[in-house]
Amino acid sequence: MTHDEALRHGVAGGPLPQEAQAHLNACPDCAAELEALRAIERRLSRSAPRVQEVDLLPGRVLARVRRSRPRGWAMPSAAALALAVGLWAAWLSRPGERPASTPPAELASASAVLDISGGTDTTADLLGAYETEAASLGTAPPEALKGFLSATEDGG
Amino acid sequence: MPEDQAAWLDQLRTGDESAVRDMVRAYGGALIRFLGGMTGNAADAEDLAQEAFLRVVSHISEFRGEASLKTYLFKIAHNLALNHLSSARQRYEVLPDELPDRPSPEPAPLQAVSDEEEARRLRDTLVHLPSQQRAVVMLRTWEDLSFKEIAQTMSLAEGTVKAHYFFALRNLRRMMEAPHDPR
Repeated sequence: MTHDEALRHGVAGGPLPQEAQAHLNACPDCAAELEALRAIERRLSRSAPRVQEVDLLPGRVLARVRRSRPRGWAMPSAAALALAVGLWAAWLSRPGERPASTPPAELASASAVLDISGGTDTTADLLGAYETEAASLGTAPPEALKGFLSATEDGG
Repeated sequence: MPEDQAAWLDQLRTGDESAVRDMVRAYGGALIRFLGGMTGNAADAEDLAQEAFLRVVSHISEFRGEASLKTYLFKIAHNLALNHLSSARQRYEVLPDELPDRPSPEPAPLQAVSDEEEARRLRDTLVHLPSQQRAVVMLRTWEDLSFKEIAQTMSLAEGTVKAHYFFALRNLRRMMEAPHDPR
């Protein structure tokens, strides 16, 4: 066994192979170097730097995680909302059919058009969906949209 | 960090943000410390740590659990650090034969300096090690990874890791004992 092989076993920890132990017993230079290397090792263990400002890291990572999420998962609710608004606007533009403040029964519930919930609480569903999505994107629903949807609900 | 890694991984796979937050809290400091030692730059270290966590979250479904999550994180961080050093051409490669003539950053002998000063000298000297030796030393002495875990982290054979560790300690000793250049 060479000097370096014996030393390599010596700093690797664990039980020494018999051959390495025999070499270290017979070679004072290697025994001295091994002690010096172990001293460096002990000093290294005490030299780890303290990391500051790590408290901010979780928030920064989470922000990047949210930004990196595929946007596709959020699109159905946005698309549903856009389609509902579009259909509603189209209905309002129809001349002389009905008063603008009274949406048709088949369109009053966007869920009926979009077949997304089947419930009667469509406005709340849509606004809730929008708010959920907006929260994930770090934005809030515009007041104008809330007002529009509330007006729609009242009218339905 | 939950004791049961499998339960924690399940939470991460469902996109549970509290699990992400716990993971970053558990390993953020260690990752920044390691990456700081690899890159020599605190801002780069934090950027790369963020990227490492992001990649773990993005690819958590591919993580099979052969190694611990900690080892997986360090593996990603190590690869990011190598890419960073390569792209920035910032490798600190030093030939061992040159070491005795290379001045150490501080002139005072080890025995005469305070613990904190000695720790700073060692950290400054680490920068002069070849990147693989530097990584092995930091993972072993700072993060207390086993040689097997380091081998998984660096995609090396365990015997190779032990050899890097031995030569790193020897090089550090030579650098620390090198006479000060009075320039």
